[in-house]
Amino acid sequence: MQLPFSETEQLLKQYDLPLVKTKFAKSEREILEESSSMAFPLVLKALCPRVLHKTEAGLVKMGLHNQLELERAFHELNSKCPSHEGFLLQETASGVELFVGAKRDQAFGPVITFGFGGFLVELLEGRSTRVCPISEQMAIEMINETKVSKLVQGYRGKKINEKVIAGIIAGVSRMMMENVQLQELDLNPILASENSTLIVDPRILVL
Amino acid sequence: MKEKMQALLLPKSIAVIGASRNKDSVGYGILKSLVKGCVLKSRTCKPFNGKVFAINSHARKVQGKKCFASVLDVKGEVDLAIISIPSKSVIMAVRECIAKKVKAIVIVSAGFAETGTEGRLLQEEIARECENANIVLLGPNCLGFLIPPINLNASFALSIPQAGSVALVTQSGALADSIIDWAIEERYKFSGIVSLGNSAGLDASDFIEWFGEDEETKVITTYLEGVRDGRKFMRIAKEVSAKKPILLVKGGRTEEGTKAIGSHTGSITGSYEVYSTACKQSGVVLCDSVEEMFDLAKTLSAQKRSRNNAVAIITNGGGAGVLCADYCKEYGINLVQLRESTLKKLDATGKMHPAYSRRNPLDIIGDALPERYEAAITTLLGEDYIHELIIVQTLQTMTDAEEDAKIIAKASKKWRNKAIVCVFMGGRFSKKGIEALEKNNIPDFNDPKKAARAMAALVGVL
Repeated sequence: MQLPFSETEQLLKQYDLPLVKTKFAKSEREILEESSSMAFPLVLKALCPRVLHKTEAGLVKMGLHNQLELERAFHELNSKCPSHEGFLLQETASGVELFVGAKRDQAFGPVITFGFGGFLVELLEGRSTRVCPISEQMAIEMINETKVSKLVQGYRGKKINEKVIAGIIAGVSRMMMENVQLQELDLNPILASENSTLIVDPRILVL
Repeated sequence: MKEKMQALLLPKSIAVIGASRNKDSVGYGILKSLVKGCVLKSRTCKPFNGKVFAINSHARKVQGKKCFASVLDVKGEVDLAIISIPSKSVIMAVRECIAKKVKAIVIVSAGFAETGTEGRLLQEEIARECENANIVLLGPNCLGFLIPPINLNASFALSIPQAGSVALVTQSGALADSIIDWAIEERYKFSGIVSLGNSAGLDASDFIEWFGEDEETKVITTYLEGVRDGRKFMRIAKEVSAKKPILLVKGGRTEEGTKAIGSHTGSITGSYEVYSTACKQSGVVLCDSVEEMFDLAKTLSAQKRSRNNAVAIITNGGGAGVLCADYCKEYGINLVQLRESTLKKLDATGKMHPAYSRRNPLDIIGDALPERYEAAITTLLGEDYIHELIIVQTLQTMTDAEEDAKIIAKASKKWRNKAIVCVFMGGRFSKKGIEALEKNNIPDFNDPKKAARAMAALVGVL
């Protein structure tokens, strides 16, 4: 089953994995309250039971510039999924979409895959895999094995911070090694630019 | 553990349980392998010179050997018991072995985990009893094993290859059979061949560890379909590969998992990808095919592994040199640039053709006689910045393959720390040269691609 948001958030924090500023809210009132301490534009996501891919199900509203748009988005999502378990309110991150995934292999234990995120994750050539434990040095090797490394030097105006990304990979490795109940983990996308590297949509599956 | 492994693979006394009189039975074959060296005669067959006991309660004599009704009737120690009786009776035989305090057991019999739940439970019980008694167990459902350096054929393989320095650990017994047959024909030499079977006790990692310390073994080859304890495999492989090369062919690599479907990690990290990454992380060279694995093993056992990756090519044919250079680049081999001082030395030999290429690949032109090869080879090997050599020979009317081979062998002896791989392209009229290379442990291939790949393995970029 998927780990609830509050526990996911806590685990990420414990391993210094940078989650975009995210607040959990149950009602319209709570959403508006939380938004007052956040930077617009915001993203609103409905937590709908048994829905793993929120975007495909139309449960994500992006680019909300003020409280009025936020209210409207709430009503729309609320009618789409009346049985919701609450909402996630997030600040907007931007950058190149990257991906870090982990699973527990029957024979080899935790294995981590890294590469371009979003739909590009399906392209085999763009990714690198290692069996844990993975140090930051090994994580940098992983980045260098993929085309993502081009962005470390900067490519067409886009640049990423290799060290931070390597830190995320090594952190996920520690998390998988130290928590045997974690079966799979999906950080897709991680939005990376020169000055900010943020996890937007973490998913963790447990036994 | 090491002591027990020694009792298994280098035993002084062996009991064959199920030493049948029936010539078509496996037990008969194993006893014959031990007593004669092999079932089908070949010049490499010699009897095992330790003690061999035949266990068969229904016969008094088999193949001239006195039969014992039980292993318990044997006087004196038994290091190794090889069991080849119907699966249902195996557990009783194992218990007798435990009572006899044998140190190692090979169960050749089939009819265990591979047949279903009942067989699996039986296998688990046997493994547990062996473990509790501190006995190492190979099998069940395996071919057995062969250690050519001590003339030990503890298997029902038809014959035994020559003693050499390549070890083979395989999950497929039938593959071992075919490899043995091929090895005898091709004069390929082995330090040991182990058929793992169901790996109820010892697994591939245990044997990789053993051959890692075995002095006869220079290269370890492995055929695997899966490992149960991947982390143990990685730990041992990493330790061993630092000392000697481990080559691996993985069976079952086209599982659905390798296809990248969806954005879910569970489905995109297919199992072959995990295996190949685990191999890479632990220094194991993953091979495409069994043939490639033995090509590489031959090279790695004969030539020095070098981490310098500074290669020169000498050729008497332009096309073959170009192809070779292409493959080298593809595999990550660094082709050195020949220095002006080197060209001067080559000129000074007075043996070069006026139109020789003056660059790497060094094309010494089709009319090259042995003395020109010699001048080129000794000049390049004499340079500090050149560490490896690929020597290509195409067959022209004046080419003297045998003499060229002798020159190469001489150079290889003189520059022991530099690796040489040859490409003698041809067939019938190159044969004497090819044989001379083989005799002197110089790896030779009939295609530049294979040679480049072998060189890539030597310089550690595969």
